[in-house]
Amino acid sequence: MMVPQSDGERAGSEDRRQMLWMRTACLVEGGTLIFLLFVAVPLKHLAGFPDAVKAMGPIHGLAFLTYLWMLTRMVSAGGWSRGETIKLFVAAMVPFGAFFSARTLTRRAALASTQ
Amino acid sequence: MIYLWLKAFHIVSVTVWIGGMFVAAIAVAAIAASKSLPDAPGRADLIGAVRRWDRRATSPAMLLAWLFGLAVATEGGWFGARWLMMKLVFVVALSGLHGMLSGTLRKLARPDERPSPASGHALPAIVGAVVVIVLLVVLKPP
Repeated sequence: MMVPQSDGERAGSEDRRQMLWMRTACLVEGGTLIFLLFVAVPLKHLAGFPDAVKAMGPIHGLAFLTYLWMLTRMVSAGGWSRGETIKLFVAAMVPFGAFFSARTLTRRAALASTQ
Repeated sequence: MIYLWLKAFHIVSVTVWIGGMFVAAIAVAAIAASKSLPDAPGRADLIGAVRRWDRRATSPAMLLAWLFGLAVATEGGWFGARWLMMKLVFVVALSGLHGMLSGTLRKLARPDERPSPASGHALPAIVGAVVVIVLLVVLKPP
């Protein structure tokens, strides 16, 4: 039998779901940045194969814009300090920074599910 | 021919997206300006309806507007044109504003939350951005 959720439980599970989606967007953005910088760019300059950059550039661009849009939405919903917001933004532009952001988001998702 | 189809779907997506943004902005501005609405019994239903529309129509329409728009620009060979680059600045700003409105609606779904007084500026900002975008697309200044 389904037990009806209270408003607080519903908001908590929605918050958790949002954090997990955000973590996915963050890892996709970070993954495409790493691939672009450490695979596509060396292929272009060392092996004379520019197609990888041509393909990965727009893909990473879209992943970055999607992440920024989701970050804007999440921060506007409240519960994030200015310092945390800046960290999540700057980490998106630094290779491997996404892993730090993903850890923060996992922690917040766990917190949301206990509320 | 494919260019015209892409353009038609782009315009449909943009219409639904901007229409949805107006709905969200009017709801947020109404709650920010009203003294009675924030504590009214129907507030949760109103916010719930606007959030559902945002989730099911407005946000997917924004994504489709981006995808069809990029396809139109690629197919038409518009990338690099100055008017398109200027248009993209306003489209990114509109997308950011949509993200802020969407997040604010989410915040308002919790009891006792109020939008910031700056939320009232979203409506004129949307109108201004739409006017500039339409002028850039139609006149295509060199």
